Amino acid sequence: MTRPEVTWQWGHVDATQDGRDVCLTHRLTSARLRVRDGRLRRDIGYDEATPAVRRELARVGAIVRLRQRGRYFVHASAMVDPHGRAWVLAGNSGAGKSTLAYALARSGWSVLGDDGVIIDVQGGEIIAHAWRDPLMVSAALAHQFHELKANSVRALDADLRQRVPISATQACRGPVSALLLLERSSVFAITRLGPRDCLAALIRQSPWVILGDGDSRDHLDALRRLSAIPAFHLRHTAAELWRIAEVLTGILR
Amino acid sequence: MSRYAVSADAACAQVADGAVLLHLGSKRYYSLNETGAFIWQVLEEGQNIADIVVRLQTHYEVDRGEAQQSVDRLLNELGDAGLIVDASE
Repeated sequence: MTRPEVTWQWGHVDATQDGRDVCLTHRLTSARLRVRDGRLRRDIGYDEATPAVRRELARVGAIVRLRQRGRYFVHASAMVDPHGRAWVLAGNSGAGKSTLAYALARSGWSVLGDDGVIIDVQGGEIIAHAWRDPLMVSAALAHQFHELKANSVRALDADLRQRVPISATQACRGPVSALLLLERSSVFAITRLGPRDCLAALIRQSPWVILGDGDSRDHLDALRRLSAIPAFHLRHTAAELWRIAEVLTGILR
Repeated sequence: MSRYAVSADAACAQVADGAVLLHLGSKRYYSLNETGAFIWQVLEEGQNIADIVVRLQTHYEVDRGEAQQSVDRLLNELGDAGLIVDASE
């Protein structure tokens, strides 16, 4: 008996896809979850799997299911400013998305998502929707936030990046008005990011766009619309992020 | 008449300063500058190579040789990436 061909992978999850039916298999445990008829359905080994495995499968399942409904996951943090406008903070892992998100939360912004955000197109607007993951800040940076000093020893054991879970006000949705592409650097610089470079960055942060299934073209169009909003490339040293949050908030006031 | 057609695996997003192309089969993406995006747009209209060169020449006010070179270079790259297919009659 031959195994079915793996169509794509995300983290520990292998996905085989037949049209809109998607079978998600956790590579380490073989536990399965299916997306069928727009619903998540438990399959072999799911109920017996650990909560962490079920959470990983459910996370990917939710991303697939939302995508089939025209809502697209982008690996980015997203915040709502005091005027109700959403800002998307994109960048590779470790670029400072969560740290800036927390710094903004301290300045009165609310959180849509720390490690992901859902976007969709409503009329002429791109709306960012909440993606509920715990907000976490690198333990190495916690000393910059005085209220976290006491918590910095609480970095989650299971978290390879040794981040500290924190609490912040949460938001449900907001029209996207700006995008910041974050990058660690030895010098500070902020430059305008053109739509083409912005779209390329968004494709990297929303890789399901390239699956080649029936949703890819609509997914690409949503990212194209998102790339048309004002976008900036922010190169920074990690220590600058909390100051950047204060400056941004001051400008908006 | 030399003519190319856009591959069924290609998806294009035109933006203000160029375009981004996806190849949905190879799962790769490509970036085009403004000139490349213009050539892609004309390709999508089904124009043959000679017409694409004339359109580029007129639009950017460049000489024929330069336009021909730009078109040939891009078509080669797009062909290598499987984003266009030969549709010559």
